[in-house]
Amino acid sequence: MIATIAWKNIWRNRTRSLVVVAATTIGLTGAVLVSALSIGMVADRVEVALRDEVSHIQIHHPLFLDNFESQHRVGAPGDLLEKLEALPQVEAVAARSVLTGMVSTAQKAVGVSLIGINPEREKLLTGLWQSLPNSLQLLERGFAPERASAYLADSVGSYFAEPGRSPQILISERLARELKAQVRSRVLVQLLDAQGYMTGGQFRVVGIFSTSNAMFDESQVFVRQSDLVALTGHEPELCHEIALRLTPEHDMAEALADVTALAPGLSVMDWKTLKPDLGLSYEMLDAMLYIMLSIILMALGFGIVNTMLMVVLERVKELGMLMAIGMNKKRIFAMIMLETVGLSLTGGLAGMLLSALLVGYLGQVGVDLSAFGEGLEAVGYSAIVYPRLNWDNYLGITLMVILTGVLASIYPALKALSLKPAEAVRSE
Amino acid sequence: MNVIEIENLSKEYQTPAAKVRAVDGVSLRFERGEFAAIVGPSGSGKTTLLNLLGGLDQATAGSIRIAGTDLASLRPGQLIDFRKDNIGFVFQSYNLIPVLTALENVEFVMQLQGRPKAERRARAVELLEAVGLGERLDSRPGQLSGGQQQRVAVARALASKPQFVLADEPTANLDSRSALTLLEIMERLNREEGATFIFSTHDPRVVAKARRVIWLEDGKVVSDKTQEPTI
Repeated sequence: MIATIAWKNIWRNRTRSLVVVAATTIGLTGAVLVSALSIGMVADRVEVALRDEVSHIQIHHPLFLDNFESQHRVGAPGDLLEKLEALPQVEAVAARSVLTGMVSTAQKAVGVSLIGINPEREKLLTGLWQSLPNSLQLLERGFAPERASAYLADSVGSYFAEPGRSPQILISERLARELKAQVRSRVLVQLLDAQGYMTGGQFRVVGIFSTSNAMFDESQVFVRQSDLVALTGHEPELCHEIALRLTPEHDMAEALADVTALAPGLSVMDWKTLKPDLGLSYEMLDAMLYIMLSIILMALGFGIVNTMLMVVLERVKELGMLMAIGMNKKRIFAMIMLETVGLSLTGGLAGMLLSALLVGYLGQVGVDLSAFGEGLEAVGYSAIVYPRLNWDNYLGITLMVILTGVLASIYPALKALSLKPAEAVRSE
Repeated sequence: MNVIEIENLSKEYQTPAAKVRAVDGVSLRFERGEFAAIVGPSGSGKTTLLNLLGGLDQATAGSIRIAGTDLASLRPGQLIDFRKDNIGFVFQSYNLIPVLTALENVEFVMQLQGRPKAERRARAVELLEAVGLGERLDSRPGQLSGGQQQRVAVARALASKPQFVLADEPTANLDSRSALTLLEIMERLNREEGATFIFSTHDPRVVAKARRVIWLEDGKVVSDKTQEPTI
């Protein structure tokens, strides 16, 4: 019955309680929505980075990532690829050669990383082949029509599917604009050959890709590994990097151990080590949510303390009567606490329901931050953000709201317990 | 058999001006089933004496023994439990729980005692019927008149089957008719339930109904007489 009384007491002063509930609902919804946007932004970035840029695990020569020297290569990659493919947690594997060079047209020359790939294998590993949008696809992705039409042409080429034997290259839409190149343009690729002499050759632009990471787009071009080897005179199996995608339910520690065992003397790194900034953002996601909520709930908590103090002061006579007729301190404390938690939780649940609806809806349609798109894409984030929140986050928020209610009830409850029943029952 | 034994009881208050002795060396005995009025002018110490008797306040000197238990020997938690099981209270301004119905208000004390639901429901209905509110079980205090609320308060006071009921100016906020109705109910329940009723008052109608009248002045008992109650 104490819980019943506490619940009924909440609604004795309906207006005051509704003000507290509304403040909690709005405060919580704001915090949850902002957090869900941040989580969505980082989670999308991580997904894109895993799909298109780093994959889950990469294998290199231990010195390769220090200075990208071409002699720091992975030996006998064919055997290793076969063994890696056989691992139960591995979904796809591809080997790449990575050489530094220049891509130039009559207009401009740009320094890039030339990534030599096996297009068929790479197609199984990364989403590069899906990153060749035309205007229609951009519209489907939710781009504003004027932004979509600003992209290049209605055709942006193909994924190494042009007929003919001449060397082919995929460049990004950003680089294409910089070089004033388009599909079927020829560009000059210059780099050092196997002997260390400058060499060069013409490549035909067969596709123009676009990812949400401007840095990635500006610094990487893709060619067939066989074309790169033919141009530079390196051995056919030239390999600087092996990338692996794991199954969705993978255990990273276990996978790292398995891969390391198959690649003795090589450097095996997971994506968090390869992209520490991304790893940190990912690790901090939940922490940011709970830090922001703690600040909001602390502010709301003070409001709730104030409300409950008013409640106690208004009910001095009633509390005195309850003590007189035999309600002990534990029960008085519990009643005030339940009332405070009930008040907080009503606002909390309303806030979470509203947040869940908003996050659910915006998670489907996305939030267009294209006004800040350039800045976001420059650091690898998409301009369309899909807010998201896990169910365990909602559970965590509920527990935090309950904790706020419990903490906010302590001072008013102690105030109630300090009443002297003989004086309280006669108070006006 | 004495239910209450008060020995040389005193209570002093420190006011900014001086020390005030609200109850001064009071010694009294109450037997089971008494229907006693404590009478006196304002400031004579009636309410203080009732608060001491109910364990709501602590005496400066002297002792109160209720059914053999010395109230001063009980720790605060024990005192609350003792009040719950042995003492019923009726307050001047009714003091019901406004969010509960009449039935729930009466049941509440029994719930604090941990009595089973069926038992407390039956007892609450019986008592509310006894005070003439059998038709208003589901009414909240705000839907009842002052006299009806005080009748619910009397039913609540008796719900825990206490040794005695303390009523502080129970008719002070009631009109004559409601006051008389309440007194008749209290008197009948005093006979039927066997509970001792001790009430403070300065209402002559209430005094006339009492079988024992104790006069207080300046915290001292100046007269303690039994009488034939008048109709």
